Amino acid sequence: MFVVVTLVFFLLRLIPGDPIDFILGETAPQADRLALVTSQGFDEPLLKQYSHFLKDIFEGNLGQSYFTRKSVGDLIGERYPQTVKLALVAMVWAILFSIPTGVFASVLRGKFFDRLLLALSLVGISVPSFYLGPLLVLLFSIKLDWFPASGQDLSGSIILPSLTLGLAMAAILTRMTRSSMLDILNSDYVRTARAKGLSFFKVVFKHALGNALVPIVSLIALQFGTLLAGAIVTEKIFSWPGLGSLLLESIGRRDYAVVQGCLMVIALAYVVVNLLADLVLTKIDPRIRLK
Amino acid sequence: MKNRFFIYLALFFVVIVFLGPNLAPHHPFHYDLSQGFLTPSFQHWLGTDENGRDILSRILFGSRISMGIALVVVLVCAFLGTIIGFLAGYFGGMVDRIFLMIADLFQAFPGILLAIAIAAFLPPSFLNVVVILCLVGWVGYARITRAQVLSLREKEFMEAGRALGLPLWRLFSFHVFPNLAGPLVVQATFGMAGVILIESTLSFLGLGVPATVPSLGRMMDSGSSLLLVAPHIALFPGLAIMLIILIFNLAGDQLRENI
Repeated sequence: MFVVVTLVFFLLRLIPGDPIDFILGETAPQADRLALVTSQGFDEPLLKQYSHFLKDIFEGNLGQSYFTRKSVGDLIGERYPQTVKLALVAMVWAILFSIPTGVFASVLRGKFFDRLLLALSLVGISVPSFYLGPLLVLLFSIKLDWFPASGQDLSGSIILPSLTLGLAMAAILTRMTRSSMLDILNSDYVRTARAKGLSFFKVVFKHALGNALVPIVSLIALQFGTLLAGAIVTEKIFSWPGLGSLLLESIGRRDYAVVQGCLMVIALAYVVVNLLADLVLTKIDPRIRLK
Repeated sequence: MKNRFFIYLALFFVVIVFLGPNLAPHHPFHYDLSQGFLTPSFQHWLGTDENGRDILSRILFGSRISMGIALVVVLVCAFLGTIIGFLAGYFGGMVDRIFLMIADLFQAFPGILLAIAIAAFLPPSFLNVVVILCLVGWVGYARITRAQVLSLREKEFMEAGRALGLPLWRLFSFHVFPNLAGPLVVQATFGMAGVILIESTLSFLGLGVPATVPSLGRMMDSGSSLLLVAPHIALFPGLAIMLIILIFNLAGDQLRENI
C-alpha cells in the first residue's frame, strides 16, 4: 500500500507539465498562481511535499476539492460504495455464468457446446465495454424497454451496467474454469474415484471442482480488482455515479486533489483485493498455507 | 497441416488498414450537413455520421491510426522489454531484484488505470499516447524474456559462448534472441489487441489522440450519445474495434499452437 501511495504521488509530480497550469490553466493571473502554489506547498522541495503528503494520508486527509470545496475523502466516500456495488453485482453475474458453463464445457470437451462456448468466450474477451454497453442499451433499453439506460434511481438500473462489466469477466473466467477443470479431470485421483464407482456428478462437482477452484479464485480476485478500475468506462456509458465518474469529472474540471485521491483509492483497492484473495486461497487449499 | 488462417487474416487486416485511406470511398473529413445521419446505402456502405461524413472512410482512416499506434508501441515495448529482461535474467542478483521491484510497481495498477492516470495530466497527442502505452506495456515482454533467459543462461551453448569470450551483444543477438523470438511474437500479437483496446478506451474517454483525429474510440464516444437517433454511428466503429481485437487474439492463439 505504501508503494501504491508513493507511486501515485511521484507519478503525478514527475509527469512533464506544471500542476498549476493543469489546475488553473495556462492563462491564469500570476496572483492566483502564487496563492495556489503557497497554499498547496508546490514551492517546497519534492521530498518535503512527499513527507507532508504521507502525513496527511496517515491522518486520513486526502485534501480538498478545488472545484466543490468539499473534502476529497467525503467525495470518495459518497461515490465509492456505488462502484463497489456495481463491481459486486458484475462479479455475481460473472460467477453465475462462467463456473457452470466452464464445468460443462470441460465435461463435454471437443463437443459442439464446448466449441461454441470457447468461440463465445473469445468474442467476450474481445468486446470492449464501451461497445458492449451501447449494444445492451440499444437492445434492452431502446428496443425492448426492459431496463433504464442510465442513472441509478430506477429499479433495475444496475442490470445493464453490471452486465456490461460482468460479461467480459465471465468470458475470461469461463476459459479459466474449463482449462482448470480439464487439468483436474485428467488426474489420477479423479480416475480412481470414477473406478471406485462414485457417481459422475459427485466426482465432477465434489472432487474435481473443489480443486479446480484454486486458480479460479485467484483469477476472480484479480478480475475484481480490474472490475473496480474498469468500471470507469462503464460508469461513463451509464452515467453511474461511482468513483469512475468522479475521476472523469475531476479530470475534466482539472481537480488535481480529487484525481489523485480517486487513483489512490482504486489502486489501493486493487492491491487489497489481491491480498484478500491470497488469504482466501489458504482456506481453500491447505497446501498453500503449509508452504 | 497447421491451421494458420487467423494469422494470415491478421496480416491481411494490417495490409488493408494501412492501405485504408487509399481504399476509402470518400474523404474522411468531408463535411456535408445535408447528408447527415444517413443509414447504410449503396453510396455510403456504413452510412454517414451527424456531420455527413462517410463512416466507412472514417473507420478505415481511424483503424490505420489505431493500428499504427499499436505497431509502434508493440515494437518499442518488445525492444525495451527484451533488453531489460535479458539483462535482469542474465546478470541475476541485484540487477534482477531491482527489475522485479520495478516490474511489480508497474503491475500494482491495472494497465488501463495507469494509462488513465498519466493521460489525465497530459494534453492529447500521438506521442503522449505512444509513451503512455509503452509505459504500460513493456513489463510483459521483459518478464517473458527474463524467464526464458534464466533457463537459457545455463545451457551448454551459452557456456561455450562465454568460454569463447563472446561480447554480451553477440551472446544476446545470436544465441539468446533466436530462442526468444517465438514467445515474443506470440506476446506481440496479443499485445497488438491489448494496445488497440487501451488506445481506443483512452480515446473514448477523451484522453487519447487529439479530438480532430477520427480515431475509432472517439467515433464510438460521439456516436454513443446518438444511439436513439442513429445507432449505426456508434455501432460500426465499435464493431471494427471488436473485429480487430478478435482477429489479433485468434492469431495469437494460433501462433501459440504453431510455435
